[in-house]
Amino acid sequence: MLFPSVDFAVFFLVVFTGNWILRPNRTLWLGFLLGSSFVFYGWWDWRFCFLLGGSILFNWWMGGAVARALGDDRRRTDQSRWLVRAAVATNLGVLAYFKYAEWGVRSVADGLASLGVAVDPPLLEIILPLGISFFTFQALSYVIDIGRGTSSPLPLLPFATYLSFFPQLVAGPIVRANELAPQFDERADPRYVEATRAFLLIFRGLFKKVVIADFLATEIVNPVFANPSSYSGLENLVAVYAFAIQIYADFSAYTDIAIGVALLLGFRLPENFNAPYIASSLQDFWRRWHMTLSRWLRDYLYIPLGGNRLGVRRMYVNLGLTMVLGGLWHGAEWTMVIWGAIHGGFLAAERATKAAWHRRGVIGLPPGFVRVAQWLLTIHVVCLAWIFFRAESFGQAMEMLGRILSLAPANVLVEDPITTVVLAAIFVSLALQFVPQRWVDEVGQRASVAWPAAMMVAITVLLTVTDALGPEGVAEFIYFQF
Amino acid sequence: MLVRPIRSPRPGTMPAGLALMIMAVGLFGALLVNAEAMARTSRGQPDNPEWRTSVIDGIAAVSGFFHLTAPRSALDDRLGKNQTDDADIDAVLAERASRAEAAEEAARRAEEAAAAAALAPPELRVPTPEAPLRVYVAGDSMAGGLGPAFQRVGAETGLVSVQVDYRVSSGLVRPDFFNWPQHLARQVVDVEDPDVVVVQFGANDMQNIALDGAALPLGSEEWLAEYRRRVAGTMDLLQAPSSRDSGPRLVLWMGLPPVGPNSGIDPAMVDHVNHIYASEAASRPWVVYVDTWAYLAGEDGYAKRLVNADGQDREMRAGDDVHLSVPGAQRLAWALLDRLGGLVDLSASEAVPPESETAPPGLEERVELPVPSPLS
Repeated sequence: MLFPSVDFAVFFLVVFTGNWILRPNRTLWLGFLLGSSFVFYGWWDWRFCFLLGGSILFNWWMGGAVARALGDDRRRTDQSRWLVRAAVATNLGVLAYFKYAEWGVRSVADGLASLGVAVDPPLLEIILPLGISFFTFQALSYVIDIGRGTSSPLPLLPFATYLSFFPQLVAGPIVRANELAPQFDERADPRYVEATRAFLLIFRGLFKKVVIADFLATEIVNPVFANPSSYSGLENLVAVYAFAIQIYADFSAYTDIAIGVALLLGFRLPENFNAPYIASSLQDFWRRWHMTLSRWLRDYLYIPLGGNRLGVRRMYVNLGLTMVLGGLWHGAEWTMVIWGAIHGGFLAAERATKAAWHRRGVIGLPPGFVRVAQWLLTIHVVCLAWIFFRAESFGQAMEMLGRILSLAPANVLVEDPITTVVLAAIFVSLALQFVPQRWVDEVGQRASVAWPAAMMVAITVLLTVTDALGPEGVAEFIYFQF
Repeated sequence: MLVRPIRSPRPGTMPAGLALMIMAVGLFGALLVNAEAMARTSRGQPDNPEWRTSVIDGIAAVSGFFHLTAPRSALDDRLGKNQTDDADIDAVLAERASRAEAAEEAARRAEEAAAAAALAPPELRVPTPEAPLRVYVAGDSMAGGLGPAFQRVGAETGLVSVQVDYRVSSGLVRPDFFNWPQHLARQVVDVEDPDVVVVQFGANDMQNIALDGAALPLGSEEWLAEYRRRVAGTMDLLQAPSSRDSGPRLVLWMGLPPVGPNSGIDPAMVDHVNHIYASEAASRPWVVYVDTWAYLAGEDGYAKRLVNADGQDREMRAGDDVHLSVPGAQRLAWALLDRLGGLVDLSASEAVPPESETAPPGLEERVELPVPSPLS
């Protein structure tokens, strides 16, 4: 079920009540949370529950087997290594089947066709189960951490509750077992629920999703990306900026709501975004954007590939490879590969440039100018990559780029999608990223001592305004498809 | 307790019971204030159980009695959101008739009614690069796929300028969400005044029709009759010439293409709405029904991939089995241009349809649509 829906509101009131009442009895409480998560997930399609259940049972069993195969002092053995590899291969195999089988078959057929060999590939019609990329990555981190000896296997019930935990099941944040499972034992005190911060997070998320993201999508992003050739270079450019805001508003909204909902249940989830568009380098951007994925890719891909331990050249290769695979994680499309390659390439170029500057010493430009130039360069590299992320094909992305760079005029009579409200939505959303966190915290502190009656009225008013400002029905979150 | 600041030994926290009370009362308040808007949404959803609609209708009635829905209505008014269930096409037509040009319009209608006897589409002027044919593509998100593709195709002719106006999730069933008849009458006919209007509806119309506080179940006889009335009314108001007397207007009404298993749409309903479009168009010479099945169906109806004129097969439909992919939209756009070329003199067109974007030659639209099978 979608967060911004009546179904979820009713579901959550029941779960909230049960969560705090059943908390003294740990088994009953975890069983209740597990059942609630399956209801939440099965609301879309009950058949998905079998896949989630299968993943839980398989990875729990593999975690135990890997732990038993470790040597003294949890040292790795050949057997433990092979078991981890088997778990990784199985998890990635299932993910690959659901996410990449159709793309693979199509790519092979297209490749053969370009060589003059006509083939008629079978139409697989595979439905991608929601959230499979997210819970598969969580399951992988669980088994790998046990194999590394940095984590212990969990009993079935806490593990199942961890892997299926509904607030972050479908679109993250990607949480590790050692972040969530200890909270099952600590059990938060029902007298001290961080409700005000949770309410603010949930409303911030609702507003970003329902009002900002869906508005920009409807007004400019969807029409321009559907047919860039009918719009001028400037309109294409503004559509790219708008998409940058849309995808941030959409994805960070889900995270805000997930963290807020978890907080109301007494759980702390890791942050996933930290004003990414104020970043002054790509490395900084990836410390602020989808932070839990960046962390996952670093710990389970970049470092195992050798990280920066095997020389400079190998480090650049590792960066590129990590980002390309990160791109493929988002979707089985060549445009996603290019998106990853742009990020990987610029990350490598950035490191090379910084190293060269470091050797050369101070270059004499005013620090403020350098900072602004770095920020402008970073945000435009990110936006360049977003073109490929959003475009339906490589050709369409190139057409868009061509029109932007040649400052092409609009070639047909179309309604100008750049309106004052669209520009305001982009600029205000961007400007809000520069608001210092302490200001936000201060608002939270002031709100936390408000009258309960005022909070009730605020909930009613904010829900009404958000619903009225948003379009009819709420589109699914972009990251549901990944 | 409710009108005193929260004081907790741990700043920023409160007891779970108080948090529950705040949430429950706040959400209940939102339910009351937004009850009418929710009831409109609920009535239009085809899969909504009856009890659900009844409950929200009941809440809306109580809430409305105490004027609790007034703030939301005022907000919707300010935002220009429609709050009626009824498409009210008759009112739109009546509004037009009451204008100063009513007499002239009536005369023109009589004249065109006589021409209708011949059942020939109106003859449009020959477009030139200086005075291109002005085409307005209107409709739901399906038009959002076709429209931009047709824009490019039109631009390549050098003779056709295309304006796209699509509203996601819209149709003829939910005027409370977007009132197309009103928009077409007031904005498109009177202000834009295009030579040709391409209309694409239906994909979002597979839901109950809310009318006079009751829900007409999707596919029922009442539903089909009301839908037919709305389609016919929309066709009629599109015929109405503008005050600027810019010549006759042609309407190309796009049929729904076949839908696949992921669409959640009953294929029999697609047949039903297409039958309504085609039969209503048949009695109106200014409306031409475009049978999209000719260009987008496989041997057994729905087909995700189809072979283009260059012999390569491409994915024509989006993952939801309803919307068109880029190649699908391109294929339909070129077919539409071909169809338009049979109605308007586009012989000076510079466009060369690429084989990679067009359907193989020889595809023909069905002369008569199959009689739709009865719905269970």
